[in-house]
Order: sequence, then structure tokens, then C-alpha cells
Amino acid sequence: MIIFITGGVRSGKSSFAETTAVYYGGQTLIHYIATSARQDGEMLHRIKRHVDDRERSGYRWKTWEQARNIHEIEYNFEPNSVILLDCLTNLLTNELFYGWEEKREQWLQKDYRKGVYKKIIDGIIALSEENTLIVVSNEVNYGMPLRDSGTYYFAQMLGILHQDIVQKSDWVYQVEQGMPILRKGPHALEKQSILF
Amino acid sequence: MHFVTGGAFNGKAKWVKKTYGVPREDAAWFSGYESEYFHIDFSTYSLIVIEGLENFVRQVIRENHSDPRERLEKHLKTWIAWEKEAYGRQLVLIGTDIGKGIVPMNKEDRMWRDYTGWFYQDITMMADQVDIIWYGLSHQLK
Repeated sequence: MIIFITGGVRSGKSSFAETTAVYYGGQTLIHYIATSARQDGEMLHRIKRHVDDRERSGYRWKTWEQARNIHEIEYNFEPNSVILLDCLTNLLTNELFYGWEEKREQWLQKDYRKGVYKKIIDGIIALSEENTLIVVSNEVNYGMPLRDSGTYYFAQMLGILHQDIVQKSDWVYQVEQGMPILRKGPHALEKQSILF
Repeated sequence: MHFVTGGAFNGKAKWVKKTYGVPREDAAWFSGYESEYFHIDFSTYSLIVIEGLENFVRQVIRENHSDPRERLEKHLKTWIAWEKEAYGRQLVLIGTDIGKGIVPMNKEDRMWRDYTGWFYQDITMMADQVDIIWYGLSHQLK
């Protein structure tokens, strides 16, 4: 099962995703896939805050640092695990722009982008087949059409990934100011939140 | 007339194809992304889809009319007149919402964004149905 959660920066989407993970997996070890590649001061501080929050939560969390290749860790999970992937936006950045430090602009090639797309979707399918996978992603407003090709391809791929994941998800939430809005869910429960 | 809007890369065209079952023989699809100019041929079809309306707006602005909004409304009225001319005709307009970013630095982009926003409001006023598409999910506004 896939639960998809989007929201803007600082919208409270991660907190809501963690609450959801606890709802489904509070009795078990909850797996957390961290996707951040940057390890500088600001990011370390934010990571530490998230880790501290999870430790204080009183539930058992296991963190997997996986900036790319999420499919690689599939075999570590017992069936029926609850896995939280936070977040898709980082994962796509790390996959799409891999090698940018060496000026390897692979993302300009269509085949490369197709490969990245397939790798991410296949990874998500593999992780969700026997488990509850919660995917967090960032809601982005692009405003005017994008002229820079890197940003254009990123936006295009994120948009198509979102469409694909929404279609595959059982539950879809958009978080605004910490409040989850249910966008997709089993019909009978369409208008109510599962948690609050 | 059915107006379909939403952000870029949200699956608007895909949703229209699914909803109306195009491609089909009696349907024509005009795309503002494939060509700078809209040669809309209204001859023999019963379903007409026009996508990339924001590019149509930019084209009209570049024609330097004294009042682009009025000019756009004139076009809109022509399209709607086609739909009303015969029973069973359907017009679907697809436009990307480009109004949610930061104010653009250059004047042409600001004008483009403003006239697109006004045009969408005018379209919405005249539409029978309006849907916002969010990653393939529709939300009916009207």
C-alpha cells in the first residue's frame, strides 16, 4: 500500500507523515528512509531535529540513509513493515543530477531521464508491494513557464512522478499549515481524515 | 464549453483525453506548445480541444492590440459561437495556471501573466464546467 503526502516547505508534511507511520506501525519497528545528500551545517541541524523528534516519540525507528537507489534496501524489510520515505523531491534531485560536480550533465539526455524515472518508480513499487510505504514529496508552484533546462526537466519529472504515484496510492494527502487535506481515499471515508 | 486548468505537468491533457476519449475521428486537437500560431480549423469536427491557452495569450499580446483582453474575449466568443452553432458540439479549453510564482522581472512576462489570469477568469465565467487538475485528480470548480 502507498500513502502519498505532499505539501509546501514547512507545511508540516513530515510531522503528519510520521504520525501516519506511527498509526500504521506504532507496534513495530518503523523504517525511515532519509534522502538528504547534503551534510552541511543547516542540513545537519534539520536532520538532527528530525532524528531527535523521532527518538522522543517513544516509538522504535530505524533510519536508512539512502540518497539514491532506494531499491537496494528492499531486502532488509520483513513483509508488512511500515516504511517512510522522506522525501521524493530530494531523491529525484540526487538521481537526476548525479555527477553534476564532475560536470556530467547526463540529465540532458532523454534516455537517462527515462532510466531515472523507471528506477524511482520501480523502487517505490518494490518497497510498497508487501509493506505500507508512506511517500513524502514537496508541492512546488512553478509560476511562469521554466526556461532553464535543468529546472524544466526536474519539474516535468516531478510532475509525472506525482501523477503516477497518486494513481498508485490508496491515500493521498495535501498538507497545508499542518492540516492534512484528504485528496484521495476509499470512497466511504472520502471526506474524513483517518487520524484526527 | 469545458475549461480545464491547473499547474504545469499535472496531467491536464491526459485527463481530457481520458474524459472525452480522444483521439477519435470527429475530434481535433490544437496545441499551443507545438506551434506559435493557432490555426483553428472549425470545419468538420464535433469535439475541439485547444491546449496551451497561455501561449495563445502571449501570441495575442505580441500582436500589439490596443486592448489585448478585449481581443482575447473576441476570440473566445468566436469559439463558443462554433460550439452553439450545432447540436452535439463540444469545446474543451486547457490552460496552464502560470499565476502562482514570484512577480516576473521583465514587463512582457508580467503582462503575459496578467492577461492569462484575466482570460482564464473570462473563460470561467462563460464555461459550463471548470475543473482544476492536481496530479491527475480533478476538482470541479463549476
